[in-house]
Amino acid sequence: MGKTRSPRQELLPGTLDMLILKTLSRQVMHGYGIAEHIRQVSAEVLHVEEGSLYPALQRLQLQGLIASEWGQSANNRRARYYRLTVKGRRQLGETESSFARLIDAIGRVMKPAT
Amino acid sequence: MAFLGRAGGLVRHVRALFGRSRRDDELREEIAAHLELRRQRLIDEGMDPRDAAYEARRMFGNVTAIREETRDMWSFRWIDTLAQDTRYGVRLLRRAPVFTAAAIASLALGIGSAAAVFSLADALLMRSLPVRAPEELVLFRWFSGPLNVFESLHGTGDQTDAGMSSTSFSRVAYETVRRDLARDADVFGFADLYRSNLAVNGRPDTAYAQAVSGNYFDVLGLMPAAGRLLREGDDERGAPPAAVLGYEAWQRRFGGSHDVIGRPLVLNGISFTVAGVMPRGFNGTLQVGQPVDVVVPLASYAELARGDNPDDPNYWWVLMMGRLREGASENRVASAGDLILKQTVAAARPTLKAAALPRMQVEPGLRGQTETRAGLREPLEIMGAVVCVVLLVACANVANLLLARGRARARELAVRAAIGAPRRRIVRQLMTEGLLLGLIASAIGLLLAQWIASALVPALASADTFAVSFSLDGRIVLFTCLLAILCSVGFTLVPAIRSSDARITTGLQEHARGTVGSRRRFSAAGSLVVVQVALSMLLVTAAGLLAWSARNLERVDPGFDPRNLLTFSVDTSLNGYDHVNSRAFVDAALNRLRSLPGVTSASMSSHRLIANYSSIRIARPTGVTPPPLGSPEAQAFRQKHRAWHLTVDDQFFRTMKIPLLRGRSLASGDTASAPAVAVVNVALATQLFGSAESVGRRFAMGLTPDAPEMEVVGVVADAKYTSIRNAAPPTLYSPYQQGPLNRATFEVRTEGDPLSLTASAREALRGLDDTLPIFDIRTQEEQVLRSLERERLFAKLAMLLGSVTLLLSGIGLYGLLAYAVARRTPEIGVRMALGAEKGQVRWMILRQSFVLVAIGLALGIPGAALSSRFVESLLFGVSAGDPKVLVGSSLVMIAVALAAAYAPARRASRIDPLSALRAE
Repeated sequence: MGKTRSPRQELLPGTLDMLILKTLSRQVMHGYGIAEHIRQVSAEVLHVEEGSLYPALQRLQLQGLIASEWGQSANNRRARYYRLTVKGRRQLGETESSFARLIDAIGRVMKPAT
Repeated sequence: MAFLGRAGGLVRHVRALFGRSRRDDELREEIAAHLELRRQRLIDEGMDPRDAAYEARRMFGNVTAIREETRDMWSFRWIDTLAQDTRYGVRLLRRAPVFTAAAIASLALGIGSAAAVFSLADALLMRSLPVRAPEELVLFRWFSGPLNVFESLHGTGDQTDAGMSSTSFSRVAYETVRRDLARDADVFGFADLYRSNLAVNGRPDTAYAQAVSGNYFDVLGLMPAAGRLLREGDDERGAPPAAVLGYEAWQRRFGGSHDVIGRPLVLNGISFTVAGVMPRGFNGTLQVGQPVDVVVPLASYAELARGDNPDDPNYWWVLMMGRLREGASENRVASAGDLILKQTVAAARPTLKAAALPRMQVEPGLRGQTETRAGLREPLEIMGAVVCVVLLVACANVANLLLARGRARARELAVRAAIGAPRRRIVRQLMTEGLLLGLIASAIGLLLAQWIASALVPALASADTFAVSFSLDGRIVLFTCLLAILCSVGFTLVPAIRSSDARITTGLQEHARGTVGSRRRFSAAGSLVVVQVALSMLLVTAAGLLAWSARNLERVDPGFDPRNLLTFSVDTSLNGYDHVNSRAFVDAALNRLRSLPGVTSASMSSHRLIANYSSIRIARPTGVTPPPLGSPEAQAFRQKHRAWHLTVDDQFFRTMKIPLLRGRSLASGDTASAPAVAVVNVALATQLFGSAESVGRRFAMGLTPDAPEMEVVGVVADAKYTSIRNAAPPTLYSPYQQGPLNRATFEVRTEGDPLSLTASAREALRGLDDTLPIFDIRTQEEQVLRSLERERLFAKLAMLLGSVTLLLSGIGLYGLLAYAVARRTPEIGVRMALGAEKGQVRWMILRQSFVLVAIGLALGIPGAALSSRFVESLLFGVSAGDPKVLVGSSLVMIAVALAAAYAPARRASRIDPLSALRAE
């Protein structure tokens, strides 16, 4: 498929999907919850334009990595809850390990062994 | 289509596509909820509630854009892109209606003719018999050396110097094969009854009849369209006579009514009861395209085909096919069949040596008999080749048009590339346009195909004896679509890559500079024109050759005068006349015809002239002893003493205006009781007696010692008999009173239009016997033209398609030159400002045209000389690669080049230097 619009430059390109999958790997969550979770866990370092979550969620859903259903939110509003599928969990594992390798490699380059 | 992902992804996409508006609503709700939660949170954190809503939106981003983006994801991106490209393409095509019409018309013609030829080839060459498991069917054929292994053959035979082959067998061979091979195969027999007299409710009409064995329909596994089909019990002597109708005949003659079942019909004077109707599309197992109106049991063959004794082992008339049983070996069937055939022939002709006995062969029978099909292959191949050339030229033209437009759109494409459209996207846009053209053209082409196909049928076979059904079935539609896609890819790929290759800067500068145009792009268009010229040359040459030979054929002097001559035929044997009754009928008919007002003279002959029919006999001078039957010399003797025989009345030469050279004509006194006499033509006189006087000499007709002798009473000039193509054969005319007679063709010479006598001539014969069908009423001139139908049609076809390709090449050339002039306007302006003459400028443009045509001719002339051998079999009086025709077609090409260059050259010479330079 064509290019996807990348989120703000604060985020490494292509990492949003990974962050969403990771967030959903702990619990079922709605869109706002995901945004809030990323913001808080990263100690507000990672700035995700909140709106860009939704196309990403759609894309992940179409890829079969996550699934969604409607439910009641804490304040009794209707909300759509997303959860990770089996395929999504597998995909997360692969992405995590390749990301770890990438970070590790960048780390070695940036801080040469003394 | 890798972007579709796996099947699961596809399903999710499709579901997403259909729930589009529901999803949009849900997304809106989800976003609203998000914004509300964020607002609450901000208020909780101490923000002013009035600012909170704004801040929530700010943090969220552009709601509309995000909804758009999400929505994009639900749909197939490529469908949207395709729809967009298509819309854009349609808009562009509509903005250039002349371009579009020219492209579509030329492509539609090319694709339509290709589809037509394909559908004909499919119907005639490829389609299997519409029966159960046709691949299990086998066909029996025999081959023999040069010696005749039979006396009389009914069916299709193929005779060469090396020997003969046919699929007709004697009854004893058929019955033995059927009985003895029953363990391995279900063998069935069938025979052609040709044109018969079918009377329903007392009204006579001609119909094509066949006889089949009782197991025929059962073994083929056919179901009736109405009533029942023939079965074993119908094919026994003494069984109540039953017949089945062909589906077409049932529809045409009986309106498809079920009342016809159980009704009587009379075939050649014998009554049958209609038992049922054959299924639609089934036309028997004889030659492809052979019509069948009525089918009767094989047991009635003897009565229907009068004259020959079907039990005679030397009369071969029944064809056989079989369905192999499971596990049966084709080889075993062939060898067992071979043995049976040899035994039956040896029993019937004890003089034949073992080596001369025929050999049996088993062939695949899934398409029925093969002879007609083999004859159709060549004309269909020629048609296919011609159509390919037209299609190529049409594609080259569309490619050229697209290329020209690509240049015109260079700026637009450059802009699109500059704002970030990927090259792939631009190529795809251009391909979509090409595909759009191709698909519209093929839709029109498909509609044309049916029409073109039926127009082509007369080139393959005489239309009135040819039943071929071609319909727009799936295979033809598929073929056309594939063709359209192939063409579209072909004609868009080069222009698309060229166009998308345009450097952004040059593309944007083009308008300003006016001299861009890379030489490469120009030469691409140039080589397309060269290809067009070369290909057109092939067709123009073929058209020239065919037209030339058609003209030659039409100018051939047949040796008689075909003008003002009405001809029609009767077959008295069909109504059970014996020879005596037939003669009486002919006498009475001639008397009636001669007394009609407007008739100058009337005559009869046993066969129609120039109708591809011949009756070949042996005529040898008395005193020459023929070699013994069955010896190798007998065959050579036969070849040397062949005489084409025609039984005529005493007015024949006068009516046909065949001049009598020596002796006397036949006379009314040459009756059955008078001495046997004959008139011969010059060719036969020379063959019989050399340069010696032949009047008064005697010859024998036949090889046996007791062959009847005749005296030559007169010599007439040579006249054509079987066809216009062949030289007048050695011909023998004998009086009809002195020989057997069971059919007659009448020739009536009229004062005015012969066709105006049709009604009264028909009435005259009907007065004698109103149950005798009269067929093939036409003028002799029409008869001659009909016999040349194939040649004439091929000539017309080639001329039509040749003109189309010429026109297309002309358009291609014109487009190229017009563009060149437009591009070079400033340059020409400079030249003229510097003192170039108008003539020089004109010549500059003309020269460009001539160079292209010269290269095209350099390629096309040798190609035409070679490829014209392809049509050699259709030529008459002119040889393939005839220099006259090659020079003629080259001149035509040059004339086209001149015509195409005229307007651009004129425009170039009228360029005003001042305004051209000012524009710069």
